[in-house]
Amino acid sequence: MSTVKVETRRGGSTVAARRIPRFVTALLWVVVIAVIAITPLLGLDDQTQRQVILTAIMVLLVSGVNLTFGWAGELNMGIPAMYAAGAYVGGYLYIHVLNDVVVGVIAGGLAALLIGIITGVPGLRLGGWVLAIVSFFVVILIPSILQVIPANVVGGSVGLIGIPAPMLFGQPLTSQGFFAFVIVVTGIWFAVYRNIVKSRVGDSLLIVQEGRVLAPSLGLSRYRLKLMAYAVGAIPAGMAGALYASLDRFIGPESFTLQLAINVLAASIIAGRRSIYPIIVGAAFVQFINVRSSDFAQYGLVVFGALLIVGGIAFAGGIAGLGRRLLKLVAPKRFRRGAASTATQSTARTDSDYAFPALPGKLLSVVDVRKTFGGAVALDGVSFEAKPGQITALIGPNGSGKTTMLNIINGFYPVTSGTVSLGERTISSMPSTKVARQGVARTFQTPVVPNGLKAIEVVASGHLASKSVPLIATILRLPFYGRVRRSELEEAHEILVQLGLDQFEQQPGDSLSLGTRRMIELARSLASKPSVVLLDEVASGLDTHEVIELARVLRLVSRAGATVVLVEHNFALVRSLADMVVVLADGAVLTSGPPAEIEKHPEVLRRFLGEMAGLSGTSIVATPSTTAKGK
Amino acid sequence: MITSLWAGLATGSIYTLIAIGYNITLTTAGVLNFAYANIVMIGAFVAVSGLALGLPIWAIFILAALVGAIVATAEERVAVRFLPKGDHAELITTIGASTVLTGATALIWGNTALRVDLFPQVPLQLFGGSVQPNSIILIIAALVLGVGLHFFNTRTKFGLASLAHAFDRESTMLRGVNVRWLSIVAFAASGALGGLIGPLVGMTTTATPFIAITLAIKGFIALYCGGVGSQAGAIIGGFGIGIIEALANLWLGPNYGDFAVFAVFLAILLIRPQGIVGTRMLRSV
Amino acid sequence: MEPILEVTNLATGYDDLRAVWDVSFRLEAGTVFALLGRNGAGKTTTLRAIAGLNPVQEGDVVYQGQSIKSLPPYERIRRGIGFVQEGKRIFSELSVEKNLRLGLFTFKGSRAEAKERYDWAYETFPALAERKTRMAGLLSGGQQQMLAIAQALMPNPRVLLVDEPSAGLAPAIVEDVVEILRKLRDSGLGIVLVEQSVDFALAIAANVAVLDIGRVTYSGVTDAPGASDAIRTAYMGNLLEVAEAESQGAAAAK
Repeated sequence: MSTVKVETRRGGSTVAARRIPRFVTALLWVVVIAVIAITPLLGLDDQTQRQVILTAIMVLLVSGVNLTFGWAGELNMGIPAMYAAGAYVGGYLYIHVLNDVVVGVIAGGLAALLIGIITGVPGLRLGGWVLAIVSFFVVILIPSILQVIPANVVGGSVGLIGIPAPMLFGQPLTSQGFFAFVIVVTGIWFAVYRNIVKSRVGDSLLIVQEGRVLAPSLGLSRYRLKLMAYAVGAIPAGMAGALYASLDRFIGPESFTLQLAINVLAASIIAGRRSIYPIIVGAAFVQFINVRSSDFAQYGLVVFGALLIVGGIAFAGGIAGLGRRLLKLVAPKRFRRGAASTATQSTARTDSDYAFPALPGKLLSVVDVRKTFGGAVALDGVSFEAKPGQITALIGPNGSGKTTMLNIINGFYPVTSGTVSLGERTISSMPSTKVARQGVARTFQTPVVPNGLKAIEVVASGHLASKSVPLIATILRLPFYGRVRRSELEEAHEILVQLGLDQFEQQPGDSLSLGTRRMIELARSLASKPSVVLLDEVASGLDTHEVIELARVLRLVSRAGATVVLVEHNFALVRSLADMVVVLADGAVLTSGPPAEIEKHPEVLRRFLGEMAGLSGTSIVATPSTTAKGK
Repeated sequence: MITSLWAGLATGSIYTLIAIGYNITLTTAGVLNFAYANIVMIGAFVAVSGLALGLPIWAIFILAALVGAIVATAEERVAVRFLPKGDHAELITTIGASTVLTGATALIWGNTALRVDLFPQVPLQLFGGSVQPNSIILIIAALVLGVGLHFFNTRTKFGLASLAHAFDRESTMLRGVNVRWLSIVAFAASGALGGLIGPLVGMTTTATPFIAITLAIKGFIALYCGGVGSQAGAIIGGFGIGIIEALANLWLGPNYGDFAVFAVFLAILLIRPQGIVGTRMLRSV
Repeated sequence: MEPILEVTNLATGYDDLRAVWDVSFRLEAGTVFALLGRNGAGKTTTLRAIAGLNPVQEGDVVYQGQSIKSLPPYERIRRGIGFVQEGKRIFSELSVEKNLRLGLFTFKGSRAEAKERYDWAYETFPALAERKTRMAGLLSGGQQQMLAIAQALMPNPRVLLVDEPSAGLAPAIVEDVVEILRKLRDSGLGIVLVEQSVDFALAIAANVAVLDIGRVTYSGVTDAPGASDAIRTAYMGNLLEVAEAESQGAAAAK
């Protein structure tokens, strides 16, 4: 146990060491914003001030697109509509209700949020083109909406005129004051954006982008997370709109065109769709081109369109992807072999008295489960139990329904009939996100490790759904957030140490070798302190050392109290590990029992060495002795 | 009322034609070509130039189809061929291609809307409403092309191969089909088709670079509501959207057409996400 | 006899990952070569490299005396290599007849010759003849496997690559599959068979190689004395070693 304590402290200190730079960045950011905000006093001329304000507005718009496009993997073309909503709501407030830029910016942000929710709820059901078109269409609707709303409210196609000069807390703002206000608002939002994406929320979003299976298996709802990112991404656009209303004190429908959506997207692509600080560069570049080509908007179109094509092809994997591609070009073989050889060298820890923290294992019972796909029967009345503290192996030939069974247990497929229950609760009617929250963790046949996370973050992500932190606590980095984040990283570190993988923890998870990724996945499934661990062919593709290491860890896990269900092809491993074996064949349970019994079962023998083991008369039992002699 | 219906069918035929063009590349190359409407507009502009040069009508159509095919093939080479898998990358690159084409057409032919006068337009009286002869041509063209391509897909070797490609790219390759070539041919064919109908569409909408994106979006809605991948769906979706738009403009007021289309689109998204005649196929779109 | 297909020192994998090292074998017309190994051993990867779906990273693939390692997959199919993919991969949304028609995509013969191919297919696979218009996805597992084989055979290839044809099939059906492959072999087709089932392979293959974690751990002829046991040992080898080490470790811990 003493070794473990040391490791924990080491884990703590790494996290603590990271806190100081965070303070520095925050302080630095405040200083930078303050300096930019007072540049007019240092002699920045009016024309440049205006360009800086327009760039700041563009920064707000691009950060919104990045949240959706980069972090949620969906394309938001409705930014101009959200921008317009902010502008018109802000303008209306300034004229008719209250002329205060703070109120206007907040109201503008909320108005845009509403547009985000209205378009996101249907559009994100399918995502992809559908969201792009739904959000694009709202932009087409802007002129019609302005026609329909009475002209004395928003000014129809003429535009909204007579917006008063901006005021803050009842005091009129000078042009320098307004400049400073715009910079401060942008600076604050930028910090909010950074804190959202560099957090557990950002990690969750990267997981959501990794395809349909991973997020739900970790208890994360893809739809809800995408909707959150998309809706929150609307807020800065609305804020920008309210600022714009005070800048020109006139708003016309011609400011909110499809062209603007393309500009913002181009800026996002230039900056990198998951970028943070480069957004400022992207926004400034687009603003620069716009000023240059204002008389020949067509040139701007050609330039931005070409940027989208090049960016879409080259930067689809993000800046990180580009870096990795370059690395491959420079040292293709060393890169590959290096990763593989370090993986084999991973030292197995042999302190056999170590015990995982107790895992709350629960009885998993499958009762008479039937599953058909269309007309084909995949499972035909399967019943078995997996007990806590035991390893239950599901074996059987390809296509016998093993993986289908796992997918039913963790809620990917609904049952056609029958029930699956965990302890007292029936889980067979729950969606997979809810099953995961009940404590069912799993791994996949092909490891699913999201792009953009370090190994330790991948492991910690197993924990994301079990401890939710309010978005506001994440944005403000309240102590609560810090505590949760620290403790989950420490736990992840400890698991990695136990698996002998701590040397990889700062490496990008998806760049590791297959065997290591498999072990990382296992570590992730343990991070949630699961009741049930479902392992789908976890040993395939591992070398001998890795398999031994895996077996050791799985014993620890089951000893800690978890219910382990193992789908495995490799009978030798099953025999050495499993307490109970369930043999599936043609979608039904052929037999079940302890491995010693199973390996003597004639029907199993026949199926295991192949469908026609009878042909040559050799049996699996005879083989081990041959090997032992041979060695 | 009848005149409105005719108008609805006329715009609906344009949406149908756009949706059909989307389907061609979708079912063969697996890519929705957002720039397709731009190619149609280029066809319209070619007709404007051809008329100015005094070319005969048949030569104008051939030229428009040729230009369309060249532009679409170039687009495939530049913006589609090297796409990375996943990541919705073709959203970005085909929207990018559409933007480039919008800018390029504006640079070549200018920003203003130009009339395309292939032949004199004298409104006809049919079933108690008035309708332009060109609209009748477009309606017939949409129906014929939709039905024709449906049969092409189901009856010919190439149609079958493209259908197979949409289901399973790798297995199709293993039947000896050069799927890269299939993708080029699909783009070239859809481009030729887009160029060919461009002059007719231009007669109704005028030739103007900035209308392309609106047509592209409405065409997508038609495609989606009908059912992605189905030419029958394109016909139903296209004409349906056109009629709804026309009737909403008639009954509710001139600004309500787009609202009605949007409402129908959202309703279909929520109630029947696979489209009216769609299946699960090509759900990734 | 000249081999129809010869694979020398083949290394292959996915993108930057190498999964198979140094595989070599010769296949003669009218014989079956079997590649055995458990899941993840690299059998399918090897087969895919021969068909052109995975890159040949090192070594060569020679078909009828010509290197085909840089040809695209469709070109290899056109030259006479057929590939039956793992998992009864057919076009399940299309009818049986359309699946066969797709199989004929590269067929250059006349209409009458094409007709002959259909007749041959329906004669060889009577179950398909009774279900020409049925959606392929609605066939039974065995019928789907037959369809997959028939589809690959439509253009009359010289070499057939078959990936785990016995997987997920009932024993009786597996016997049928063996029977068909045997018939095809005897008619002069060269077959590369990938299997997990040792017995299936032993039933028809003249030469066998066992793959484990991407490397050949055994290769030889099947009719030599003691070959069967040697193959089995190689097949189970690495894992039993693990199991032994494991059980010793467990005993020591207790």
